[in-house]
Amino acid sequence: MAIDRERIINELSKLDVKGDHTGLINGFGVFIQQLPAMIWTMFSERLTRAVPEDLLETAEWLLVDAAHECGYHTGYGIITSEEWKAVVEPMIENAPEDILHGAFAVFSAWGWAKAVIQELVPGEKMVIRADDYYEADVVEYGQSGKMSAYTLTGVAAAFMDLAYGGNYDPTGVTGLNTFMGKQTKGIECGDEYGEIVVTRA
Amino acid sequence: MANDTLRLRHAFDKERCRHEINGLTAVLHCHHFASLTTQLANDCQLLDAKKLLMQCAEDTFHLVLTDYYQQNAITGIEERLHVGEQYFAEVGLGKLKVSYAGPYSGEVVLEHSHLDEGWIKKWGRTDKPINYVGCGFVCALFAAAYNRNRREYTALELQSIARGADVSVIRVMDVTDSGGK
Repeated sequence: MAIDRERIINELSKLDVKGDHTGLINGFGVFIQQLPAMIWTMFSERLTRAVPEDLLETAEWLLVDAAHECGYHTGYGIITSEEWKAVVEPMIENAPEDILHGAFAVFSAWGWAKAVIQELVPGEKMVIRADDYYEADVVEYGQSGKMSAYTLTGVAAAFMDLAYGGNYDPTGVTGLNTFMGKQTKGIECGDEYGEIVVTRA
Repeated sequence: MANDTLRLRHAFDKERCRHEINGLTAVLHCHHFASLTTQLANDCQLLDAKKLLMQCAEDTFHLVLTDYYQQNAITGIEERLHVGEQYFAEVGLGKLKVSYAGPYSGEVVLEHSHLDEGWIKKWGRTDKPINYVGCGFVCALFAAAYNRNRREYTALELQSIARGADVSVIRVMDVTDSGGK
């Protein structure tokens, strides 16, 4: 594999991201914001802790779905961006697998998680290992019985959609949701690292 | 440099792959994420998740702003409001201007709004208020500016870009019996 993960993280973590004269950040084909992570973790934790038990699965699915769509569209914007073409594209020898490895380096550079692909069965399955992710911050002492890496789960599935789900569809009607993610380990649950398993939907 | 010129310290922790802004973990997300989270809040009526999202924004930005004011010795109302306007723009939430402010009420105008313009880009116009994050921010801004606690203000979106207006207008009102006195 030719992907130089450290170099990608070094280069792309330095991007100067701030609002222009309109207060908006236009980049990678989407509007971006850079908010304190706690706004999102607070919302997902308060929501999932407050819903009745029979609606928990639905609430969690919706949180993952929000990240899945975000990851699909922003992910496409990333892998077609000038920054990608300058830094990552020259390293790609074996597509789409190298693209996936590069995408997770960018994923880490953006601060979503310190995540790497641990196992990849092309077109079928991917296992992600995350040694740090902001969604684990909902637990500061002890262990939770509920896994909380909704963003990580959704975005991991989205990247598999982009790699093996057919042509990118800006409407999301095709291409999106051809894969699904499931969190199988969580730092917030006392595991050493977070783990996401992505398989065909 | 004037005291009301916002200075955010960005840092990237390579070991953990985390961005920090003024010491708080910060994360990049797109308008799809913000719109879908807002839609989730709209749909989840059982819990009044709209209020929940607004309160999460209020709690987050109250912490951000009060810390900033304290660390930079910003005590004047005008300076505090200006810093809040700049923060809103720098993190990509849009262009917010405080039209007027007092301890009991105020109004802000959003000439641009990530939530509204992102919503339109994703789904087109709506007939409902959707900027719960913006309303929470405004409650936090007034509470922090007036040395008040969270939940002492509420916000009402009078018009919005997502509903077809040129600008969004949010009114903020003190909801305590004592007016904070």
